Amino acid sequence: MVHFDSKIPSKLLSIQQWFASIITRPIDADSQMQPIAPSGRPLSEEAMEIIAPSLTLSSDKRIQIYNQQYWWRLLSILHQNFPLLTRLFGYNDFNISIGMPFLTKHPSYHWSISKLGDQLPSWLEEHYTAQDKTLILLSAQIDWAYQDLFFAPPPVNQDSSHDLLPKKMRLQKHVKLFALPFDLFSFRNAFLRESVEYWTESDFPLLPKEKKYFFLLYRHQKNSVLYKEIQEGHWIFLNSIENGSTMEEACAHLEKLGGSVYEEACSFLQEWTRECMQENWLVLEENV
Amino acid sequence: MINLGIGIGLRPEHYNEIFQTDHEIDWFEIISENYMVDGGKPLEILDKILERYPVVQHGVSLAIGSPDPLDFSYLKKLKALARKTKTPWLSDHLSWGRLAGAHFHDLLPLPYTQEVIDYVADRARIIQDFLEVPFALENLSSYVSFQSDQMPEWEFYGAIVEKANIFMMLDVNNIYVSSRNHHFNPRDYYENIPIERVIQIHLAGHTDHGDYVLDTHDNFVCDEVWKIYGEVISKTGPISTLLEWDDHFLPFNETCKEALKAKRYRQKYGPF
Repeated sequence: MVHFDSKIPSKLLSIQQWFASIITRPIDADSQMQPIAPSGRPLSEEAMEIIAPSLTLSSDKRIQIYNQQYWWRLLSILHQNFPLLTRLFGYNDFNISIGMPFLTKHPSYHWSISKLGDQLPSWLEEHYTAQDKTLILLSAQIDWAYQDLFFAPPPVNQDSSHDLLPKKMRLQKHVKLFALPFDLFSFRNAFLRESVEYWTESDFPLLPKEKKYFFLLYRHQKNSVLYKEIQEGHWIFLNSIENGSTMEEACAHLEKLGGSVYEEACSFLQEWTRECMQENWLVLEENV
Repeated sequence: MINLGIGIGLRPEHYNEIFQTDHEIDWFEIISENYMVDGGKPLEILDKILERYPVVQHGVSLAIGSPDPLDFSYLKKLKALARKTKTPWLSDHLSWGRLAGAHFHDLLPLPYTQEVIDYVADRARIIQDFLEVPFALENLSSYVSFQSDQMPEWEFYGAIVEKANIFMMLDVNNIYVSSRNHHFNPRDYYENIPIERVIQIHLAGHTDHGDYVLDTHDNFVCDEVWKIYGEVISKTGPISTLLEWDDHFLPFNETCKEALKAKRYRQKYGPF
């Protein structure tokens, strides 16, 4: 149910509804506005009833400026927030295959433009069907994680003098875990060294995929977002904690898994927990 | 109202240079929404800036002329930031950009009619009362005018700020851009507004497309805009002046140099 300000003048509202219906419609490959209005009438004719022409531009050409600006602005924000995804497609293909259909389905409902892409990974999951879906989806998730962590709340200071083993903990909000079938983080770094235009003309960097890769993405104390490749056992340990296990239970889970993961845990568990506390990656659930 | 001197807009592209450079910038303006965040680099930099400089907040998402009810969850965050920055005043645009909850992230123009004056002025008064700091509206660069317009922009703008008892954040580049797009004499604009309500001035560059001029904030301030600035400050007296630069960034020092050209005009048209 849409609620408007009770004092909105009806004539203003109808102009705004018409204006919004025009400027949010996709522009074509040459950035031209659609010539037929949503009503079915020629836009050049309909626009004249609302927009006054200038000495140099007709009414429809004047509103076209807003139609273009709407798309160029929002697409450029997606390019900034999804730098790997944009490089994988190039500007033109990104706009046509991803940006415009996504924004048509999910216009912004937040006052902050920085939230514009928050539903892009889930939109891709639902709508993207090409063979490279895994790569595309994970790229979008990682791009968005960088954006999300950049603005995440500062870590809650965790007093590590208490016995934390039996307590439920969580990853702090400036930390995320990834388990990947390829090394997408070094791939992303290689991509980001060059411009979008460069990659439309050049061969892509090598995507390392010799094994399963485990990463932790976090915002450093100096507020840069960094990634760190971690051991499988470390990832399982942190993932168990994130999913509600206590540290004790996470250790028991590693023991139950046995094999090389358990051996790894026996050797490194102390180091992992020390690093987690030093870097402030974990927080008591009661402090979240 | 306090004259802060010459400022520039604080932009992430300059974060690393600001504290490593000697400069004569007196104050910074922030885009409020960029600092209404939970944490991270923007707030770290803002804290450092606040230790050394006055900061003024300028918003882009208020959408005062929108048909949606005022968003008090947004206003609460804005007010909390204003408490932190101690902004001496706070501004946003005389525009709309929100409909049925959707944000267009643009500064869309309003029809210049009496009923729109009444509607916007009521909301402006509420906003100023809620925020508890002087509130100013900025004139737009616009690319359309409406068949239903009943008056020129300057009359519309002046009527709203007077009726709401608020202030003007006068963008002299926007006066120039709109004068080119709507074919009026810029002098008609600044000679017919309640000049005593101007609290701050914006300067910026634009892009001339021939048939129209676009407000792009990615270029040097042109001579015509400097001339408008000079003539406006000859009426306002010494006034806080800010350069906006938002794309095709220059190094921080060069951006400062462009902003500080304003001093020349303050000498010539003042002197102050």
